[in-house]
Amino acid sequence: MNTIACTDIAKLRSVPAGTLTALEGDILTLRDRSLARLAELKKNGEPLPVDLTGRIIFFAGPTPGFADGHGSVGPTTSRRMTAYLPLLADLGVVALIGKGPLDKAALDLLAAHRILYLQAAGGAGAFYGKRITSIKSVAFQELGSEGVFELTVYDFIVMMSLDGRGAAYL
Amino acid sequence: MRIVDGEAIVSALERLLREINTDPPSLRGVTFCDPALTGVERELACILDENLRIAREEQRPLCQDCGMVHIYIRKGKFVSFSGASTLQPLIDEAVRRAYKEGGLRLSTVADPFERKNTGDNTPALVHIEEIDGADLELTVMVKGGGSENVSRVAMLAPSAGRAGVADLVLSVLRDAGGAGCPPYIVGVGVGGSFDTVALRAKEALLFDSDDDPELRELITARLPELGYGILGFPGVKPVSALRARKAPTHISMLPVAVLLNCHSFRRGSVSL
Repeated sequence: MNTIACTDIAKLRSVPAGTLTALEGDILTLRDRSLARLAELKKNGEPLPVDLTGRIIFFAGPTPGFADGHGSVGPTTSRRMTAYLPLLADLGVVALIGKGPLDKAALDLLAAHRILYLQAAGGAGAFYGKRITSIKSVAFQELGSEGVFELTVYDFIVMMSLDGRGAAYL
Repeated sequence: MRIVDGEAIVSALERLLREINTDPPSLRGVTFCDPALTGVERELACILDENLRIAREEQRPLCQDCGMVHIYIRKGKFVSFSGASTLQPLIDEAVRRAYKEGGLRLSTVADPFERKNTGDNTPALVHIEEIDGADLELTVMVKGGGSENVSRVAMLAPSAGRAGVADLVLSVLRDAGGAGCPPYIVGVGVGGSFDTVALRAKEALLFDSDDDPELRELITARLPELGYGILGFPGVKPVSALRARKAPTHISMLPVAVLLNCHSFRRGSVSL
C-alpha cells in the first residue's frame, strides 16, 4: 500500500478511485457543530479561527482519552455534512475524509473544485486512534469532541472514493 | 421483598459500560475477515478485526462514537433497591462515572435544537419491564448515531404481508449503504403500534430473539440485491445477522420498525 504525505496533494490526486492508501501527516477534524459555527462566522463576515486552505478535513469527533493512550477516532457519516460542502469548497480544502456515500450533486460539487473524497473504515476508532501521534485542539474547544482538532497521523488507511479525475468508488 | 444496594447497581453498571465499549461479550470470538471474502472487502474486514484486537488490548473504545446508553431492565415484582427512589438516577450515575472517568466520548445533547452537550452522556435511555419473581436484570447496548440515523419506522397496510415487510427492510438497507457501518445487525419489529413496534425491533437486537424464520429467510434471500458488502463498498456481506420480533396489532395496521446496528455490536448484561 502506498503512503502519501498529507501535503502531497498532487500525488494524492493521482490515486485512482477504489484504491486503499495510507496517509501520513496532519489533518483537521470538523463535524456538525464546528461546521455550523464556521458557517455562522462566515455569514457574519467575522474572522475564522482556523485556516482551511489546502487542508485535508476529517469528519470526526475524537474521544477524550488520547492523553493517556486510550484514544479512539474514526470517521462520521459524510452525507450529514452535505449542506456545508459549498462552504468547505469556498474555504479551499483539498480533500475530505468521512464514511458512507455522497449523492451525485455533492460529488459533482467536489469534483468541480477538485476536492477528493476519501473514506476511512467506519467504526474502526481504536485502529485509527493507535495511528495518531499527536492531537491538538485548534478551535471551538468548548464544543468538546465537536471542536476542531489537528491530528498527526501515520499509516492512516483510507479508500479513494472520488479521485482527481472525478471517478467515484462508493 | 429483596432489597438491592443502589451503589451495587451503579458500580456493576459502570463496569459493564466500560467493558462493552472496549471488549463487549457480544463481539468476543467474532471474526470479520472471513476466508470467503475477497479483494478490498477482505482488506477492510481485516481492519475491523484489527480494531477489535487493539480495542481489547489497549483499552481503547472500539468506536469513537461511544453512543447513547440503551438499557432494558427486567425487574421482578419482589425486588426493590436502595439509594434512590427510581432506577433512572442510579443508571445515570453509572453512565456519568463510566463516560467521564473512562475517557469515553460524551455524545448526548440536552436539546435537539440548541444542541448543547449534557457533559456526562446522560440521560440513559431506559425501558423497564416488570416480571414475576425477585430478579433484577439489566441488558445494555451502546449505540452510535450512524446506524440509528439510517433506521426507520413505517405503517404498512395489512395486505403488504411478509413481502411488503421484506421490501421495506431492503429499502432501508439500500438507503443506508455504507453510512451506518455495515455489516449490519438488523432488528425488525412487526405489529403493535407506532411507538411499541420500535421497542420490538430493539428487543430483537437486545435478546437475539427471532419470532418469524419465514420473514428472515425471505429477506436473507434478497440481500444480494443490495450489491454492497463490508463498510458499503462493492462486496457480498451487507448484513451479519437479522432477527424479527412480532406483536399483536390492530385489524387495520401493519407497523414495521427496521433498526440497524453497526458491525460494532456493543451489548452486555448484568444480573443483581
